[in-house]
Amino acid sequence: MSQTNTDPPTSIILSDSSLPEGLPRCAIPGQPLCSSNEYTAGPGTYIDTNITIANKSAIIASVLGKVTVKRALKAESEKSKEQTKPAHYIRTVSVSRPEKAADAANAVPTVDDIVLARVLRINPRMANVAILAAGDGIASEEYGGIIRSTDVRETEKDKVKMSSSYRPGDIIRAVVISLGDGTNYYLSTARNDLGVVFATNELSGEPMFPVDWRTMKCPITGSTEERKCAKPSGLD
Amino acid sequence: MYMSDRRRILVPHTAQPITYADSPTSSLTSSSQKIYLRTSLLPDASGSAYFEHQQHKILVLVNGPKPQRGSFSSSAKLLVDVKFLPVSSDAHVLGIQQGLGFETDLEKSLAEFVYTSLVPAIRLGQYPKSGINVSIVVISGPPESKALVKQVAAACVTTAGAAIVDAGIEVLDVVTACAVKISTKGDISVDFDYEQESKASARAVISSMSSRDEITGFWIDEETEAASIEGEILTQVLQVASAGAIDVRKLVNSVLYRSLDGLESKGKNGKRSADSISD
Repeated sequence: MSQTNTDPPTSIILSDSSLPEGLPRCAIPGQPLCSSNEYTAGPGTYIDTNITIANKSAIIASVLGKVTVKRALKAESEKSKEQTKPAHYIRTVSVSRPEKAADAANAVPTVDDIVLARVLRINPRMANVAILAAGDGIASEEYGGIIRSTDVRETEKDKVKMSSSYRPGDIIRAVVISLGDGTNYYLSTARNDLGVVFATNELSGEPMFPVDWRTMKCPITGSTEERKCAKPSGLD
Repeated sequence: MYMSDRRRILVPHTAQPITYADSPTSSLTSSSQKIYLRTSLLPDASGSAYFEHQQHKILVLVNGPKPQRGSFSSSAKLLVDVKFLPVSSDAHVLGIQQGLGFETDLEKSLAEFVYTSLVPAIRLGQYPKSGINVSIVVISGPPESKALVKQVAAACVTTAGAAIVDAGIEVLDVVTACAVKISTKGDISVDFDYEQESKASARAVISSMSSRDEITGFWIDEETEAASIEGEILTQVLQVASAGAIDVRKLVNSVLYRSLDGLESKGKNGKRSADSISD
């Protein structure tokens, strides 16, 4: 079982009054926030080499919003959590507007983003999907995407049958693996937590629930259909 | 060659701008230097800003980033268009009639200047395969367009800069602009007020990213034959205009800060902010 890579449990998000000293509560684009010596630049910020704070390039706000700092364990110190000292923390500073988080500006898919998409049509080689939401945002217009048959699941890639993985109308969770060409992003569901999250039964039209990783069941008729299901979150 | 624009209802060629009983020029000059700027006024657009100062009434809508079809591009494409409403002023009504509803030269050069001013500031690389549309509507401009184009240009850039920030698009810095004029005697001053009898040897407008101390756009026109703007004078022009742009930036900053507070206090559904500022 591949583990989904979430934040370490010890990550803390600081904002408003709990912000470390020296950081502003709100920021306007162009406003220097802190030195890249102490913090790493998160979303809504950039590093400018021409402006220095404490002899290091400054981190500067690039959007209007509230400043937050995420404190997380460094990757290498994760294994030995008991010896963790504050020095092993990575502090990421970011700027965001909570009420603007769902805006189109945050919904441009980038590589490694988890996206929600609707299956438009399928053929034996690939499925065409429309990306509805990416990152934190909801797309103002749908971005096109393609899932090739080799990217549906991790094992037995050569035996994948597209028609028993997705059907048009399904809502899927996928990861962006490439920006693709002019029209389509390339997506993959080759992970346990990725795949169909919402599908309706062909006969009854009812939303189905997943039974195992490749079967979904209708709660009314009890009939089953084949899908590449996403593992529901919260299951271990 | 007769080319008609069938998609729009054009104004009759005898159309006249609205004139008010009391001359608006006299009342407006007395309340000089009052800018009204407001962001987030149209919930349907990704970002919007409205600017009002004396005769200038400008509305900017930002739409995007939205997917762009066609060939692959690793960064976003910026599109700027400027439209004068037929009622905006008499000179522009003439312009629109000449253009028969098509983009006039004035609109084209303003759009080009705004594009030049904004492009260096926007982090286009953050939005691959996307397009950002900036639509500028000049609801009301000064009647004698020729002399005051630079003022309109400055207002357009400042408003568009604020609207881009309102849309949540990542930028290096907020862009603001300031117009300056060089009088026939050689004095350089910030060109901010509407003047009916306005004579100058040259007029210019500068767009800048004030907190980075970078100029993103510069447009100068000499208005008299004798004028020559070179060397020392040009440096002074840049200094005066940059200082003016910093002043405008202060106003824009306070509007943006207040719009943030307004959103916070009204909760998640409140998409409103109203700010009026005067200096």
